[in-house]
Amino acid sequence: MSDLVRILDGNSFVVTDRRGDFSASPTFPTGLFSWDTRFLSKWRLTINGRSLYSLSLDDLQYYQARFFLAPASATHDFDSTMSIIRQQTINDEFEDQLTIISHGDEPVDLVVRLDVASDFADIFEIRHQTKKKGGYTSRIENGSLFLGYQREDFHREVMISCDLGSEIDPGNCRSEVDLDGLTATGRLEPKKMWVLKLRAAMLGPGRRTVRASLGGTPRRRPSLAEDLELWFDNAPRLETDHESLAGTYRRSIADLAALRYTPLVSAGLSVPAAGLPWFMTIFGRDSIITSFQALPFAPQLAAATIYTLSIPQGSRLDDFRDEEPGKVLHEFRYGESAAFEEQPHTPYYGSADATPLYVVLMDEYERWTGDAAMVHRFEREARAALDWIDTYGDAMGNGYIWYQRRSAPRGLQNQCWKDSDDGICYRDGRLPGFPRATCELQGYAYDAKIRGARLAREFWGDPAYAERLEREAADLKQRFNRDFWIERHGYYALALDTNGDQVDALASNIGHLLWSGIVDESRADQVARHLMSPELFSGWGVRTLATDQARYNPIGYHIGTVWPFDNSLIAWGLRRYGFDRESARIAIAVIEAAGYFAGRLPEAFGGYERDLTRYPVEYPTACSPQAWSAGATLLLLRAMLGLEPVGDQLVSRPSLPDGFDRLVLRNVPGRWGRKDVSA
Amino acid sequence: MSASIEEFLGELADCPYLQRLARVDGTVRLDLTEDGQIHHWHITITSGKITLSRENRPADCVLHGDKALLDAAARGERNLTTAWLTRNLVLEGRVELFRLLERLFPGPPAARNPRDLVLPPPGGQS
Repeated sequence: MSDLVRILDGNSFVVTDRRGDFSASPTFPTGLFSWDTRFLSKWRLTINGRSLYSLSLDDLQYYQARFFLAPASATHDFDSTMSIIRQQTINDEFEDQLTIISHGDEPVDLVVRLDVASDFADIFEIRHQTKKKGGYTSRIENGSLFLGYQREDFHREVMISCDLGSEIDPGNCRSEVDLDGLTATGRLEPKKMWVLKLRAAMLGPGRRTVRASLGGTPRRRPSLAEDLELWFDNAPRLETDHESLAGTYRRSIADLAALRYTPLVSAGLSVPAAGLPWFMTIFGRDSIITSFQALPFAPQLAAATIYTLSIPQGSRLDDFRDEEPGKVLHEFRYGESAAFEEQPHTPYYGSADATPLYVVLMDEYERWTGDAAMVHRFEREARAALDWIDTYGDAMGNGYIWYQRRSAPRGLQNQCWKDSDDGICYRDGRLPGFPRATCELQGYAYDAKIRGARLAREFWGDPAYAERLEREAADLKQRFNRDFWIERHGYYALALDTNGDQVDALASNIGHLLWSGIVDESRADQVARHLMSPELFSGWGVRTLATDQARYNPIGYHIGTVWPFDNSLIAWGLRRYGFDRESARIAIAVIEAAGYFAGRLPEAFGGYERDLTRYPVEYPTACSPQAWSAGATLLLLRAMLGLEPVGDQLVSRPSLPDGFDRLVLRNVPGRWGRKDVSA
Repeated sequence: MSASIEEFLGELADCPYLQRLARVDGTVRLDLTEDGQIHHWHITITSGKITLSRENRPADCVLHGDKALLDAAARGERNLTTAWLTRNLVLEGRVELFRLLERLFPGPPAARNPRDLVLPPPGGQS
C-alpha cells in the first residue's frame, strides 16, 4: 500500500499511484471519493500516447501532492526531452495541474489525453461488492464532461473540465471532450512550458455540491494553506533530541489536521474523522478517544466532538440502527447504501463504549480547559448517557454494560473497539454467546460515574445525584473485582458471558482498566506484570491478544496485532497506578515503531516478536492515516511528561524512557493559558 | 403513537418543555404535498417549546415532502434521515433544526428493548 499516494480534505479524498493516476481496484479503494461515494474510478494521463514515468514525488501537504514525471520511452525508461510537474489538490473539487516543460531545441506537438470513468461505488460496496441498482449517465455540455449516477432521487455527478491556461497562444492549443475523457492538444515551443488544469467537481442533485444539496451551509474557512499554518501555530511546540519522536510528533499533528472533518451540523467546528480510506466520517468511539488524546494539544477537537455527537444522540428504540435513548452514535454515512437502508448508518448506534466515554471526555475537557459553559450546555446529554448505562446498556439487568445486536445481519456482533467477529474469545478459542459484557466497558462505566459525579456536584448543583453516582461506582468496582478477576491467572477476564461465566482470554483490554481506575490497588501489580509479559508485550507494544491464547495470530485484526491507540491508553493507565517505568517502556516502543512508518503510526501492526522481525510489520489493510493512531503519539507524550491539570495549574511529573536527555513542550494550552513543560 | 403529522405536531405543541430543543431557537416550515395541494405547517421553537401555525411564512429551515411520508414518520414507519438523503424530503436552510426535530419522531413500532432479547418481558409488554 505504500506505493499509493493519498490526499484528503474532510470526507473527500483521492488515492492514486505514484504517477497521480488511478484505476479502480476491486479490493482497495483507489479513486476520488467524497461523501462516502467514489466519484471517479479512473483517471489516467498519457502524453503523445505514452504513459508517464515517475521520477519523484512530494507529499506537500495533506491536501496536495506533487509528482515529477516524464513520458515513458519505448524501453520503459524515460524520455528526457520533456518533464511534467503534476500537482494535485483536493478541496471542494479535485484539481490536477500539469506543468509541461520542454527541454528540446525543436517545437513539439503535444497530445495530452485524460481517460476517465466512474462506477459511483458506495464505500461499502468496495468492501462488500454488490450490483448497482441505479443507472449511469454521461453527456457533454459546454465543453465539460458530466458522468452521473441516479437511483430514484439520489443523484451523484462528476463534472470534468480542462483549463488550457495562457502560456500557449490560444491559436495553437485546444481541448476536446468525449464520453471517455478529454484531449488537449498544443504546440510547445523549445524551452517553454505549458500549464493546464484538469478539474473534477463532485456534485449532488441540482448541480450543487453534495453539502449544499443536503441543505448544509458552505464551510467558512481560510484557505487550506492558511488554515494549516494556524493549526501548527496553535499546537504546542516540541523540543527533543530524539529524532523519531520529533518527526512522529510533527506527522501526528499534521495528520490530525488532515483528518478534521466538518459535519453538516457542527456550528462550523471540525471533529476528527476516524481514518483513511475506510472511515472518513464521524465515529463516536474514534472521535471521542482521539479528542481525549489530543486534549493537551488541540482541545477544540473535544468541544467539537461533544457538540457534534449531541444532536444525533439516541432518542428512541430502533432495531435496524441498534438505537436506544441516550446512546451515542457509532457511525454516520451519507452514501447510497445508507440512504436506501441497505446499511444501518443513518446513524448506526452499535457501540457500547461511546456512551460512557462521552461523559469521560466531557469531564476531562473541563478539567483541561475550564470551559464550564460546555458542561452546563450539555448537561442533558451527559445525564442521558449516564442513564443509558444503567438502563438500555444493562441488557441483563445485573449492573454491567452488555451488548447484543438487534440489527441483523448488518449490525456489528461485537460492539466494543475489538469489533471483528472473533475479537472476543475464550483462552481455548471458543466464542461466547450473546449478550457479552467486555471488561473495559465496565471500566468506562465506572469512570463515567465518577466523573459524572464531579460534574453534578460542581456544575449542575445536584449533590444528591453526585452521591448516587459515587455509590453506584463504588458498588460497580466491588462487583467487578469479584466477578471479573480470575484468581488462578491473576488477571481480569476479557468478558462475562451470558451465564455470568468468565471469558478467560488474556487480552490488552486489561490495560484500559488501569486507565479507568476500576482496578483494585492490590491487583494493579499483577495486571502490569501481565501487560509487560512476553506473551503480551512484543517489544513494539502490547498485543491485542496474548501469544499463548488459542486464537492468537500476529496478523489477526484484534487477536494479536499491536494497536498504537490501545497502547497509548495502557501507558496512561500504567502511570495512573504508578508504573512509570513500564509506561515509559511502552511509550518508547511505539515511538520507535513509528520511525519505521515515517512517523505515521498505522491503525495496527503485526504482533511479531521484535527480536524476530527487527521492524514492525504493517497490518495488510490498515488505515493510514488513522486519527487515534496519530492521537496515540500525543497521549504517549502526556504519559512521558506526566501532565495533569490540578486545579487551575498544569502539573508535570516526567518519567522519561532511557535514551531521552531532553523533552520540552512549549505552549501547552489549558485553563492556565499557555505553559511550557520540560523534563 | 400519533396517526398523522398534524396529530404528532399537536402533541409536541402540547408539551410544556421539550428538553431536546432547549438549546436552539428557530423556525421550521413543512411544505407537505397531498393530492396536488401543499399544506403548510409553521413551527416556532423558543426555549424548548414549540408553537404551531398553518401560515406560509418564511422559516430558517424549510422541508418539502409528501404528506404521506410525514404521516408515516409520525407513526414510526419511515425514517426522516434516510428520506432526506434520498431526497424524498428536501431541505433548505438550517440543517440543525431538521436534525433536532427528527429526533422527536418515534422509532419503528415493533422495535425491541435490548432487555427483550434476554429477559422475559415484564407482564408480556416491552
